[in-house]
Amino acid sequence: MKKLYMLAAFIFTTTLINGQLVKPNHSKDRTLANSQMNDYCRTCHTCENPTRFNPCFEQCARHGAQFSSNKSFEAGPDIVILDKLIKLYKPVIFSHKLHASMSEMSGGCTHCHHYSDKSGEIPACNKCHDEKADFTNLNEPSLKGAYHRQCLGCHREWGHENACQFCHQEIGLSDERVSTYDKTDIVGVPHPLIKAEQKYVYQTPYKQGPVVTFHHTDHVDLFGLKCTDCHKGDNCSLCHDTVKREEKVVKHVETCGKCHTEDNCNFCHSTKEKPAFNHSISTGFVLGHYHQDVDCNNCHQSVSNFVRPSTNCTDCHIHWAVGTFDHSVTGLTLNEYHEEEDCENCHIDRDFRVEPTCDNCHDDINYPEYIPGDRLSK
Amino acid sequence: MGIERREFLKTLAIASGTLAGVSSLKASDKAKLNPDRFGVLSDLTYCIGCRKCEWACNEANDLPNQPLDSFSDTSVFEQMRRPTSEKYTVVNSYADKGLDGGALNVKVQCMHCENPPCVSACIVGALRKHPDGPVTYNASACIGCRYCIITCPFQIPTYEYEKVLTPQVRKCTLCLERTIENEQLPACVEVCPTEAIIFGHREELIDVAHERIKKNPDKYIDHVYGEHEVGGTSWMYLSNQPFNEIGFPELSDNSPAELTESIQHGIFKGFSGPIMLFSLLGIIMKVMKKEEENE
Amino acid sequence: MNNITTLSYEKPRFFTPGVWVITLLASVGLLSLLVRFIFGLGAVTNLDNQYPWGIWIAVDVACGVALAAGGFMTALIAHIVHGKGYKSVIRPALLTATLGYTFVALGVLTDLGRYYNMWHILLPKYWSPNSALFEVGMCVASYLTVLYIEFLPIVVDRFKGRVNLPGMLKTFNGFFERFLKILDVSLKKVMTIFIILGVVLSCMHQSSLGTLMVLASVKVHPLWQTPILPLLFLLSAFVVGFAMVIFESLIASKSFNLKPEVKVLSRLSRFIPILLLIYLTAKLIDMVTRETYVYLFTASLDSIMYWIEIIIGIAIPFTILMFEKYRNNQTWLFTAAASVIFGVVLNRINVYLIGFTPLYVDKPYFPAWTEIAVTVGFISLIILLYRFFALNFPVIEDMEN
Repeated sequence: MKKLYMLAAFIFTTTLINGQLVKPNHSKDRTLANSQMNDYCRTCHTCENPTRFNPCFEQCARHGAQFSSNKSFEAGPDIVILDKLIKLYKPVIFSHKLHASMSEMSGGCTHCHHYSDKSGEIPACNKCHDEKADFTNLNEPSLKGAYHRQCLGCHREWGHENACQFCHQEIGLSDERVSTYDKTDIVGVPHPLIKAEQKYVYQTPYKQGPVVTFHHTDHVDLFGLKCTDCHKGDNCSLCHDTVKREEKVVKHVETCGKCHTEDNCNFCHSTKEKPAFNHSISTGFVLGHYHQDVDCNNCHQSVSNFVRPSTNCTDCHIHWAVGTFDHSVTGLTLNEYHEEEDCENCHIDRDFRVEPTCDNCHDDINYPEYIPGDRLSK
Repeated sequence: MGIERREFLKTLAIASGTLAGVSSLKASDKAKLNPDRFGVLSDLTYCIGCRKCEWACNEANDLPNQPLDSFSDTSVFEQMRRPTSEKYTVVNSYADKGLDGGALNVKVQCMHCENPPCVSACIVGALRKHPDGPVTYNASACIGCRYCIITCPFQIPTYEYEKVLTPQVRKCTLCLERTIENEQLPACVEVCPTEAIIFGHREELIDVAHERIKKNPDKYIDHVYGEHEVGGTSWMYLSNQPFNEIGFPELSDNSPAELTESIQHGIFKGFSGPIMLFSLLGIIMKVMKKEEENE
Repeated sequence: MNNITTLSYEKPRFFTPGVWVITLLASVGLLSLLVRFIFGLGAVTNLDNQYPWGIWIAVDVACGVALAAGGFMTALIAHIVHGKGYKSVIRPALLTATLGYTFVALGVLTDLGRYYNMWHILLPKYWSPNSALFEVGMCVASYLTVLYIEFLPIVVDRFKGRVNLPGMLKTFNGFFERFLKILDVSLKKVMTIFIILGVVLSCMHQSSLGTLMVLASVKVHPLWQTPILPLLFLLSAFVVGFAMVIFESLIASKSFNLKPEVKVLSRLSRFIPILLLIYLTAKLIDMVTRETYVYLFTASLDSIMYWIEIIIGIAIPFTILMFEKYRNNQTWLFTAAASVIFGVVLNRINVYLIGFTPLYVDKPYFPAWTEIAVTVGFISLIILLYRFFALNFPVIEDMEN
C-alpha cells in the first residue's frame, strides 16, 4: 500500500514538474538548455516563471523589445533574397541597403528589426518566425505574416495600395502582364540623396504673420544641423504620401520649437518673406574677413543654446601677444622698430576695433597718414 | 377537493417537467460542442484588401474563379458586395476608416454561430453545427425551403435559384475537409499575406483578441465582435472602428434560436400541450353532449 | 337575392361567364407553374438572397392556412361545444378547409427548391424537433390527412345507395355498396377523435406559423416581431375562421342562387367582436411592453401598413358587429367579414413580406407576374373545385332539396 502511495506521489510530482519545466514550442535552435529565465526568454514572456498553462506571453516583441545593436546601415547586407515561401509568387529581391538607408532618419535598424542578441547581432526574420503557420502559436505571426506586416506597414501607408506585383511577380504569368520593374536597378543603391531647397516659404493660418520663411541651407550649412536633428522619426510616407499634407506642417512647428524657444512668434512668422540670416543686420556684429568662415558654435558654444559672446576680441583671443601674433595677417607687416612693441602701445586697452594711435610715442605722427610698417598689397 | 388537488399537482408536474426539459435541452446543446472547437479571428487593422482570400476560397471550394492577378482590381470596392452562391466570401472596403486614414477592409463570410438560427430552423437537419465549430450543409437532405436564409442574422446563406432540380444552399464551410479532417488551415487563412485572419481554438482566439486590445487600447475598439453576438460565433473580429459603421449588424447576446426553441419546447415538450388540449376538448365534448341529451 | 324560391330550385350549370374567366386565370397559373418546374425558381420568381420567401409563402401558405381556419372553428363550435343550428355551415367550411390545405401543400411544393425531398420530413432520420417549420410541416401533413378523413363522409353520402359503375364493372356494384356501408359505420365511430385531433393540430400549426418568423429576429420590423407572435397568429386564426365561414357562405348563396343563411351567420358573427377584442388587447399589451409604439407615427410603409391592419382589420369589423342590427343585415355582415379577412391577410403579408427587412438590400422585392399568376391560379382552382364539389356532392344543404 505504501508503495502505491509513493508511486502516486511520484507520478504527481513528475506531472507537476513536467507542467512547470516547459518543453516549449520554441523555434529551431532556441530550445532552452536549462530552465533559467534569460533575456531571450524575456522578449516573449512577461513573468519570471512561465509555465505551459500560463506562458504569460508578451503580445508582440516589436520595436526594440530587446535591441542592443548600434550598427551602421552599411554593415547590413546589400540585397536579401526572400525565397523561403515560394508558392504563388516569385522570390522577393529585397534591397536591404535601400531600405536601411531610408530608416536612418527613423530610428535606424529598430525601425524594422525588433530583436538583437546581447552581442548586437541581428538575426534574420526566419530565425524566429516559422515558415509554416501554426495555430498552436497564435501570438507570433509566421514568416509570411511577419514579412507582409513589416513591409506593408510603410508600403500601404505611402502607396495607398497593396499591389502585390510591386514586390514580387506572380508565378506563371506572362511577362507583359507584370510590371517592368527591373530588380537589378536596386543592387547597391542606397536611398537617393534628398535635395533640399535653399529656402521654403510656408503659408500658415497664423493671422498676425502668415508667412514663415525657412532657410534650409542656413540651418544646415550655417548652423551646422544634421538631418536627423530635425528629421528624427520621419517615415517614408512623410515624403511619399501624396494624400496627407496637413499633419506635416504641424510637425514642423514641433520640430522648430525644439530650438526656437523664444516666445516671440514674429521670430519666424511675418507678413512677408524674410531674408536669409545676415549676421551684421540681425546682431549688429559685422562678420569681417576672418569671422565669416568660423562655425557658429565656435563663438556661440552650442547650436541649440545660443550664447551671445563678448565682442571684446581678447576675450576670445587671449593668446594674442608679441611674438605669438603674426601681425601681417591684418595686412600690415610691422617694421623692425615696431616689431617688439607691446600691443597696448598702439591699441589702447587692447581694443582692436578702435583705430590705433601713435600719440603714446610720437608727437607729430598720426595714424593713418603714417603706418608702422608696410602694407601688403592684395 | 381531491380532484382539484390532483389537477393542481398534475399542472405543477407538467410545468416543472417543461422547464426541466427546456433547461436540459440547453445543457445538452452546449455539451455537444467540443471545448476545443475552432474559430477564426479576423483583425481588420491588418487586412490590406488584397482579396487573395476570395481567390483561395474559390479554389478550395471549386467555385468559378478568375486569375490571381485579377483580384488586385480594387474597382469592385466601389459597391458593397455580399456573398453569392458562387462566392462564399467577399471583401468590402470602407474608405477613410482604416488606421492611417486609408481604407478599412472587411471580409464577409458565414460566421458559424455557436447556436446557429439556421440550424435551429432547418426542417430536415440538413444544416448542422459540427462539434468542432463549422456549420455544415448536407445537400442530399435539403428540401430547399430557404428558411435558413430567412433566419440568418448575418444574411449569409445563398441559394441557387437558377438551378432547376438540384439547387443548393451555399455558404462558407470553414473548410471542414481541410481543417478538421486534414489538419490544414482554411484556404483563406492560409493565403492571407498579413495573417489578418488567424485560425485556432476559439477560446484561445478570444484570449489573443483581448490581449491585443489590452496592449493597444488606442488602436482597437474595445469589442470583440462575435464573442457574444447571437450567443457567440466562430468568426470573430477586431476593429479600429465601431462595428455598426462598417456593415456589422447590432445584435443581442442571445441567439434567436434560444427563444423559439424555448417557445417550441415549452409548448410541445413530450407533447404535453397538445395532449392537454386534446383531453380538454374531449371533456368539453362529452359534457356538452350529455347536456344536449338531457334537454 | 331574396326572391328565390326553393320550390322550383334548379342547380345552376357549372360554367357561367364568370367561371370562364376564372378558368382562364387558372390556366395561366398552371402554365406558369409548368414553367417553374421546367426552368426553375429563378425563371419565374423575383426571389433572391435578400428575400428568399415571396408571395408563394406569404400568401399561398401563410394566408392560406389562416383562411382555412374556418374548418376547425366550425368543428369546434358545432361538434365540440355542440352549439345548435350551425349544421348548415359545417360542410361548406370543411370543403373550404380541405381545398385550402390541399393548395397550401401544393403551394409549398411549388416553392420548395427540392420538392422531391419533401417526404424527408416523414423519416425519423431527418426529424428536427427544434425547428418550428418541422412542426408546421408535420401538423399540416397530419391535418390534411385528418381533413380528408373528415371529408370522407361527404363522399360516402354521395355514392351510398347510388353506386352505378358502367359496363363490365357493374358486377362490383354490390361490393362497393357494402364497402361504403362499412366505411360509413366505422367513420361515425371514430370521427370524434379526428374532429378533436383536427382542432388540436390546427391550434398547433396556426401558432407555429408565427413562431417561424420569431426566429428571423432583427429582420422582422419591431411592430410585428414579438415573442408572442404565435399567440397572435392563433388568435387571429380564430377570428378569421368565423369571418371566412360567413364570407364564403354569402358568396356561395349568391353564386348558387340560394337564400343566404343570415340567421346562422349572424349568430356565428357574435363571436367575432369578442375574439377581435382579445386579439387587439394582446397586440396592445405587447406593444406597450416592448415600447414599439414609437414606430406608429414614423410615416414609413411599415407604420402605414400597421395602421391599415388595425383600422380595417380590427376597428371597423368590431364596430359593425357590435350592433345586432348590422349583424342581421347581409351587406353589413359581408362587409365586416371581408374586412376581417383583409386584416388578417394583410397581417400575414406584413409579417412575412412587408415587415421583413433584410440587413443588406440590393433591390426591394416585388413579385414577378408569373409568381402572381401562380398564386391567382391556385385561388382560381380552389374556387373551381369548390364549385364542382358544391354542385356534385352533398355539401350545401339547401341545394340537395
